[in-house]
Amino acid sequence: MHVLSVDDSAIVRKIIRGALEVLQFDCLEADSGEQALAILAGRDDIGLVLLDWNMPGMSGLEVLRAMRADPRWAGIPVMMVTTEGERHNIVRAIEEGANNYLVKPFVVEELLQKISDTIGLGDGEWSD
Amino acid sequence: MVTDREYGKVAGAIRRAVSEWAQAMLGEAPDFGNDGDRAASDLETVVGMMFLSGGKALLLMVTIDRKTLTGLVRLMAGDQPERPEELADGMAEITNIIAGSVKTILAGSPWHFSIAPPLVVSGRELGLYLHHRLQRITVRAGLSGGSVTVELIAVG
Ligand SMILES: [Mg+2]
Repeated sequence: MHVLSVDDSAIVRKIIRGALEVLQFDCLEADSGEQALAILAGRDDIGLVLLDWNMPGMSGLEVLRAMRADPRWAGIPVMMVTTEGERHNIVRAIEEGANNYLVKPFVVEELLQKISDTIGLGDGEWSD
Repeated sequence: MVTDREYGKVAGAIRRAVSEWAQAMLGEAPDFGNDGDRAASDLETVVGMMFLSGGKALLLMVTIDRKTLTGLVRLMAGDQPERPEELADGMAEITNIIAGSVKTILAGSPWHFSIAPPLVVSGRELGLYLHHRLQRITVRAGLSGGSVTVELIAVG
């Protein structure tokens, strides 16, 4: 299984890549929402998307909507990883189909825990 | 005008945002001893800037000397930033994280805002010149042997 990490910040993608290595997942990276959708369109082995909200161009919320509207991607678990920490934004993302939500700044242990939790929310393929 | 009470509330939000970032991502508690204006420095300086729109038009600036920033980015990313773009990217994300936390803390207040993509400027002997009527809230945090200055300027 591959995890797609989407964030316009290279340092955040690097932190996330390090965490995914600990969990022994292969990491794919996109620095924009547009690139994320292009990667999704080209593969069928992505089991989790970690999604920033604020990015130049397409926002994370727009990527989430596009994923949930497309039967190829509607079932892929998505965790938002974002500085948007207000309650109404968290509720909105969950309503739009996000499976989990992590507010930056985060400690790496929290990231690892939430990635594990989010995958557990999927169809059970990776939850054992 | 910013009343003393308002100044205290916004400065408190900035201090809390800096603390949350430093404790989570650097494993360090900042020292808020001295909130004066930025010291003139001949070190190379890196400034993260973000325009914030809301009830007020604001400019957020985060200023860190290059040596301190290199150490902070190393603490965040796990290894030494090699290229100038890595340092700028780290500065941009520090600005983004601090702005996002301040936004969350100030939700529901007249100072609440939306965030925008950060910009980064760097150079030696950078000066900041403001008309005396523009209001500025300054917080300085000691971290990793250097200092991080956060300024919130009401530009409209
Ligand atoms: Mg971002």
